[in-house]
Amino acid sequence: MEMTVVNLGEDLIKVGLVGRLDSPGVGKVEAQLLSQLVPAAGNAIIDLSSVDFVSSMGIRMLVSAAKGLRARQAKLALFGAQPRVLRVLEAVALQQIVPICPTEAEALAAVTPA
Amino acid sequence: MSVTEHLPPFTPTMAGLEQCAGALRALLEIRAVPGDARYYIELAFDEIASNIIRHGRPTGEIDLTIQFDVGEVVLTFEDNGVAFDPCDRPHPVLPLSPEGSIPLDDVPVGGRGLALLRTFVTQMAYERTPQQRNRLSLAIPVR
Repeated sequence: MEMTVVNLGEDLIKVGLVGRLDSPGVGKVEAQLLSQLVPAAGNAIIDLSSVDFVSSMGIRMLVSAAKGLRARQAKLALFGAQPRVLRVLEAVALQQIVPICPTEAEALAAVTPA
Repeated sequence: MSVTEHLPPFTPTMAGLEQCAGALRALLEIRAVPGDARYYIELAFDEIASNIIRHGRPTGEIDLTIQFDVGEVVLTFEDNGVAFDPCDRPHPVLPLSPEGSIPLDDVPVGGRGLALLRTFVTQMAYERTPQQRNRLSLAIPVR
């Protein structure tokens, strides 16, 4: 499990996750993800296109990130989920907690004020 | 035709889980299990194995057998942790956060594992054995 962070401008970052968001994968990346995203209190988008597996531990981490940002008046959106990953995210209605967008452009639009 | 495979028992740690997950992936590939079913089998493994480690806290290794039947795969876990029957839990109502009715602040962070399992597992059976071990079986359809 790997993670990249790109600053897209003031108060906006893009995180890329690569690998499996199963229990071991989340254990390796969760602290880093939350410490990058939440204290910065800026809007964020997460690229899931290179995540080929997600379990409820991965979903838990994404909900933590969304709640942490919301508590700081910032927004989170996800994009690029592969079909099987998307099916699992939708099975627990994650899209009602965090916007799940097909493309990066749509995720950006979801977190930036019109 | 039914074939049962035993994976090496794994220690109740994240490292043990990761090692077994790798062995399971290799086995599913050798057996040419289709991709969708493979995903759900790996998902059932991660949900149950992590639950056993976090909540059951077994002191010995966890056993996993995988039974390949026509149309389904059955995973059976055995461990000496605290007795816990997941079949007995109330069914969480999905979605957990009907839009507009629960503010994000009140949305629980976790607790989705069993709910997720129930969306694809066709049968789940639990018993506490006379040897004071948990035995949990889950059937996952293979199409």
